[in-house]
Amino acid sequence: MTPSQTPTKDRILETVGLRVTFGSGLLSTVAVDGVSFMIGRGEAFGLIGESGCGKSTILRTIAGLVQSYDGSLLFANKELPRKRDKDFFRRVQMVFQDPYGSLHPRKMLESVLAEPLAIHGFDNPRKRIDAVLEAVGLGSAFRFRYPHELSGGQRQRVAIARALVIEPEVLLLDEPTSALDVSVQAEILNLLKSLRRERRVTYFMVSHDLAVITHLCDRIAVMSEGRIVEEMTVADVRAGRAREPYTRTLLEASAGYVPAS
Amino acid sequence: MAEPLLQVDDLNVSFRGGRGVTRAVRGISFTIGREKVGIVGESGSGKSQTGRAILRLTPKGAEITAKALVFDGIHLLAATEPQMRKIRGKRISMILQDPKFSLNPLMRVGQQIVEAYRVHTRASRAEARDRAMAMLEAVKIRNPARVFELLPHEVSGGMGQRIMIAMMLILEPDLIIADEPTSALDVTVRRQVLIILDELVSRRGAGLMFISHDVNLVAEFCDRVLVMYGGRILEDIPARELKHAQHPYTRALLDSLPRLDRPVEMLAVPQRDPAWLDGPTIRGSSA
Amino acid sequence: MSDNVSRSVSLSAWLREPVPTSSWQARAQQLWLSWRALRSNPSVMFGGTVIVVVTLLAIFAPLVATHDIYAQDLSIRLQTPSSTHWLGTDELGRDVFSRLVFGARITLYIAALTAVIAAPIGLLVGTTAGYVGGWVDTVLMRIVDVFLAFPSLILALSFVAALGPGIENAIIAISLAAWPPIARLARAETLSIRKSDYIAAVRLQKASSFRIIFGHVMPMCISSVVVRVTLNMASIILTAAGLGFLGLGAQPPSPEWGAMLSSAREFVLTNGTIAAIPGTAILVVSLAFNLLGDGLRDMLDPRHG
Repeated sequence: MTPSQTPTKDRILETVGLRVTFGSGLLSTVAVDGVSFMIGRGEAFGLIGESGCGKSTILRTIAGLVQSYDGSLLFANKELPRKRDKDFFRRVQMVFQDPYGSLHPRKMLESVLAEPLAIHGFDNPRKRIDAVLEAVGLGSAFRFRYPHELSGGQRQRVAIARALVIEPEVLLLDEPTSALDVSVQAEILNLLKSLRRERRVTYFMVSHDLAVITHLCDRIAVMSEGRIVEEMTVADVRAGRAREPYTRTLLEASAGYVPAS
Repeated sequence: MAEPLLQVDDLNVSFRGGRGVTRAVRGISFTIGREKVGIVGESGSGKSQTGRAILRLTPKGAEITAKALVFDGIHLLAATEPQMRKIRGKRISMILQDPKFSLNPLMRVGQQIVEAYRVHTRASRAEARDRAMAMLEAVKIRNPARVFELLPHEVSGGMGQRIMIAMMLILEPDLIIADEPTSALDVTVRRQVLIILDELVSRRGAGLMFISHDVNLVAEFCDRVLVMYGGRILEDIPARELKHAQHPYTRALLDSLPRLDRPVEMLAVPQRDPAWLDGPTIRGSSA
Repeated sequence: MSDNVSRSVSLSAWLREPVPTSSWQARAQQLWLSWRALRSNPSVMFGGTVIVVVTLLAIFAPLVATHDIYAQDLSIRLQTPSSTHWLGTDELGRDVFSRLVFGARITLYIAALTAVIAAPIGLLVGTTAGYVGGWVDTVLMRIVDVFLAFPSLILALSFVAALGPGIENAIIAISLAAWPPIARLARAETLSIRKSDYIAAVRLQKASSFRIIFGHVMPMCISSVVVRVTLNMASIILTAAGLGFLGLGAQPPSPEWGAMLSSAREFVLTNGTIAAIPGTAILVVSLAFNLLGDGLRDMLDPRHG
């Protein structure tokens, strides 16, 4: 598998030989086994695989939630230290999979959105909060609501708002619609697509749903058992041009339900 | 057409809560014969509550009323709790979404299947064990003797769900209610589980009520589809006629999914028309 | 939305408004919903009512009591309940009812102060140990283990023996026995909260550990701690009564219930009621706290949150 030929100056995120092991001794499992890929600035890159293949681990490692790994991670061509600094977190943010677990149950939405602004020293918090709530389609009246009063789709919008309120350059998306109803998924995917266009954010998305990933992303990598099996463009996926047998299986399974129209 | 297994006429399920009465299911009517019927809807549409109301497993504080709720001649709402206990598991069983939560985490999976069997029959332990092994083989588990001794957290999602199916079908119920049985599973595993469910249901001539939010999945798998929204059934249509669905909500659900073969710039978001909440049910031709 | 507009709307409509227009309104609405949930739970209402009644009796003791609690009159000692002395008189002729009512003050004072001391300490130690982990966790938990190794009454006894008898020392002694289980509980909660996505999200904002522990972890632990403290109240009251009984808590002539029980011991055969009455009072208040704690636990079960 050849990494895409993105010129160095345009790379925003890169992994080189990333290896993550959990547990120790006899009980250790290798979650990520020597993964290398790069993402260009402004690109939407997708990582697809079944559960347990290591894709979420890669995302969490890049985010800085997994501290022990081998290999290097580069952000804007500079190697990242194990303990990330504040600047990294201002420029890279994440949207989690489960909308029912990613918002603090006891905090009003205003407080949830004001906190990152306060930590990073942004001015005009009130205006920014209103703006981001409008941008995700909720409106500023939602400032005073609590998570348990919101539906799954609304909660996910808040999670997106929280990630975007400090204006990051890279958004890491961990299966953002897999915990949502199919009917709500379309709204969230549309929102993500339009936000990316408006704000010129780089997306790195992880999913097990090929249709969702091809809708949002430009380029994808297929993962299985800790390794990247194949990288391809979304055009290749739609044309069914898979080289590796695993990719072919995945494509078949995803096209499995003959659409009703 | 043979006598339907389940007849539901004007079913209502409501909850008394802090902010007044919530009507989760509002006067729905349908029948299920020895066929696979899918109930599709978003969360809050009332589909899960419908399944639970049939088995009277709704949460405390729920009020169920219906003009008729009849299973094989038995009026389910008039049945006493001991009568319902005889029905649950033996004549009507329910498969839930996530085996992580529906299997007892402290008991070996084989033992749970055995227990399910012995609760309703007078089988000896050895007999029950043999039946359980046979069921594990029927759900295509390759090493039943090994899997029998495993604990739920030691099995993968797909295998856990197949174990759930084994447990729920060992008593050969006439009606199976499956509430999002594949939503927690990977895409490749989903297919396997559905194939197994299909085989077992057809072979035994049982009826299946398949509750899901995934309309495409239901369309491929079921014989008939009921589309629910806001506690009502909007459309009742044979699965093969789904592409000619008439109700705008059904059409919108079908159109809102991202498709590999048809890229779109923006997905069609289902627009919800409040008129649907009290509108009529569109019933397609029966099979 | 100006304040004038909201004032012209009735309070009940304001609380029921579906979309709150200020953070105060949102908070008030949540409190009101919690109050309604509390009201519908019979354990909470019964236990809570009893405690409220006892608290009111304690606060208004000078108005409720019928006699001077220190006035001795040996000519009327050990009388059974009558119209002048509603619960009879004790071995020194003092009115039992009045002493009981003033004794409630002491009992509630001890209970409240212990809760106020033990809960924050336990919460702080537990959440810090659970969140920070590593050697901090080990050291803190071993300290907790040391305290837990002693039965609470023995521990309280030894502290009072070292510090000398008296209410304040009794409170310190009981608090020292009460905080470790709360620390354990808070740590267990923190360990599971730590893994959640909302904590990961705030770590991804580079929030300091201090902000995470105080702003995010503690608010989630508080409901379990409240339930635990309420359920522990019964044993705190019993320990206080036990110390009083042994003469190590409140000193005579203070009308502490345990001390009353102790001095009534000798006269049980002559007049059983003067021993039964403080004993029943201890029972009723402990039971009320237990019921309240039980009801709160049913309501605050994390699965409902």
